[in-house]
Amino acid sequence: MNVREDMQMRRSTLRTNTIAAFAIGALALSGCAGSGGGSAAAGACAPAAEGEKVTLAMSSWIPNFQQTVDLWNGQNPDIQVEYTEVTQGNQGTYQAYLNQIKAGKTADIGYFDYDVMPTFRIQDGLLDLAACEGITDLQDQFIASVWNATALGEEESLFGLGLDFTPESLFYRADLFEQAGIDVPTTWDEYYEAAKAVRETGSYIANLPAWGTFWPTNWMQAGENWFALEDGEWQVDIARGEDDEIVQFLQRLVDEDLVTSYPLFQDEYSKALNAGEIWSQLGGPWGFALIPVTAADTAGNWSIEKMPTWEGSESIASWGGAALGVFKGSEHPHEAAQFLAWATTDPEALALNSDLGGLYPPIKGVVDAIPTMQEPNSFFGDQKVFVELDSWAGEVTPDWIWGPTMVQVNADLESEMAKALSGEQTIAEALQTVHDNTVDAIRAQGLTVAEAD
Amino acid sequence: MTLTADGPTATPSQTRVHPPERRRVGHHIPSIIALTAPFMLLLIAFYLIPIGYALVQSFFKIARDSPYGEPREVFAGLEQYAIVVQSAAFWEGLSRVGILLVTMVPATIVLGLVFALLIDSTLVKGRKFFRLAFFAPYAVPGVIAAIMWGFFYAPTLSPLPGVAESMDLLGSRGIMFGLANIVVWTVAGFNMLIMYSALQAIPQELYEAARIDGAGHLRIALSVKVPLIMPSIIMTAVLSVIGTFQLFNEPQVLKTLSKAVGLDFTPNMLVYNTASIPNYNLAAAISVLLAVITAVLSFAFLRITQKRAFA
Repeated sequence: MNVREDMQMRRSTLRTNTIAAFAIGALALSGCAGSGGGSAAAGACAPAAEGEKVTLAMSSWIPNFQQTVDLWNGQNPDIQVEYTEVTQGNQGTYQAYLNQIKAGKTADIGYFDYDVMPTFRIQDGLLDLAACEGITDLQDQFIASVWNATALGEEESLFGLGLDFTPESLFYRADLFEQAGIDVPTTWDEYYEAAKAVRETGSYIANLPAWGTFWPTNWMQAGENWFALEDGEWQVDIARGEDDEIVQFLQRLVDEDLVTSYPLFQDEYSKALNAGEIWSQLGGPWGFALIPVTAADTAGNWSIEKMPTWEGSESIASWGGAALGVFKGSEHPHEAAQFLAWATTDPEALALNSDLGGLYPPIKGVVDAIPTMQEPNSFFGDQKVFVELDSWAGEVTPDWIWGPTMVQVNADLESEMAKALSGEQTIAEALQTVHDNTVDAIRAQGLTVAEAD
Repeated sequence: MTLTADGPTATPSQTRVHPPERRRVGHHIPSIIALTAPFMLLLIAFYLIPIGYALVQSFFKIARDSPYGEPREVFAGLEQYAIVVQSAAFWEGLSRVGILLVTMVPATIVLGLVFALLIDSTLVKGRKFFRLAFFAPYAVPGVIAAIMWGFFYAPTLSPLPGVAESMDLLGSRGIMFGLANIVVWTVAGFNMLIMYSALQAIPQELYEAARIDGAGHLRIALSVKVPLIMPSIIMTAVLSVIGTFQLFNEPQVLKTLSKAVGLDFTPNMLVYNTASIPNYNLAAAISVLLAVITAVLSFAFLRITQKRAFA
């Protein structure tokens, strides 16, 4: 009996104390509720004091980027870069960045896919590099579409310097196609026929991933924009009906079991590639670095070709691509901007980036300027891959715009498309759900959405 | 009057009341504060303040004057909660953990109980070994356990591809069972250990008395041991209920291997992925609502079993 009384007494005291603690905590923190967002004045990009040694903290997921950083550190004893390799942005690093921005404790330099740059701009996390010495002078060196992607549509601003340009190509097993006597497809109709032929040999022509970043590329190629920004209002146009040509094409591949759907670059996918179960992969130039790592047993058998196009059009899409950006809270914006300028334009840096990181730098005439980019690639059957890529890089559609919540769009796409790929819903239904969630997410950011239909 | 576990015992001179007790307690207050201070500080800093922060955040929303304008936090009352309550994803996630609650939790408790009774009885050889073996899965971090089992389940990676293919534990038909399997494997040993410890406190005379009355091993287990450790059993049940509502590690890891696990598979995953948009205000509202529901159900469960728990 008394144990219960005792406990009741203790409970009521604890309850009082807890309420008191809540009240104090809540009051103390309601003041902090508005934190997040840089305190540095927009436009300030002051250099460090004369002779001061600066250390910059940087993270990215570019393969082997440490070597580029080491090159800089060797040449610049007063500005040292501390580099950390992290997981892909959409696989967790963007969440870390966003948390750091909210907490006001960011590093100096980060790596941002072009599609998520508006998201970080909205969270007020990116420094306007136009205020930094020498940055705007670099404009003529860059490919226009990439410069625009990092300027986010503003004339006088720049929020990152592009490290790569990613025209989408078809990576394929030249040996397997030749053995089976199947022509490598150049249009999507041919691709469908080839898919059926490959399936008859027991293998699959490709792996269709649930990965978020894959899906917009299909409509990008066709010039059907998902987002537009007019008069301060966002327009969202992701949903497509069941009779949309692209939806039907993709749905057919899934329904007729012509493609696998393993998570990209994970263990099951790697096993299938090495076993020759998957014969091709669409991708950006990052494939030059990632496919050799994932399918090491198949070296020498791969080739690269322009991605299949729709009948009557030569346009291709770009898949991925990212820029280096400076966090707004950085204490050494001037030095960070200097590193960015070097890493994206210096020929030695670009040679390392392309050779070891599979990056195709968005600099005009880069393949002619850098001898290592003209060398044959042994993994790809001694094909001069960058030279080939250069020949169709100009066909990328120029007018694509990214929405302001792409981290959410990519996560929702991955979630909904996984269900579509396993047959639980159709691709059209998945797109509708993503569309609805995106509209909600944009409105939750305090932005206005006028739904285009 | 002195307070003991058995009840108040009357002392001869009841007219002489409190003073000696009170003075002693009062004398100890500074030591009490000093000894509990580290715990209270950590409790406040890492538990109460974050809860308060989330609570405050859930009442706000973001407003902006232009597409790239400065974000402002404005008071939004219960708007975020209205969004949560109307969100199908939230209720679907809640129903999934509800299903796990009525199927998986009893399994972990029954399994833990059976193991504890077996190890406590004299029937089994190698008791120390089994005690360690059953508990070992709990020592495996949840993420590692999920990755390991995920590899078992994936037909192309499994050492038993035929079994994995036919059971389809990563597909929409089998994913709930696959998930429950991982959690039961991890948690049953922990429950077993708690119940086993409680069994050690039972006086041996009771067993002797039962044996004299002709009870066999099974009868002793069911009629003597189980009723006496009922408080521990209920405690493990409550812990399991709370843990199930908060399920996050295992489904989040399985998401990379299974197409049947979306980003809102459990309510906690929905909170995490909503915060990643980033939409901290909505995520805060979801987490507060989830905490309230968990608390209500746990207290209800305790209330129903109150007599047994505090016998």
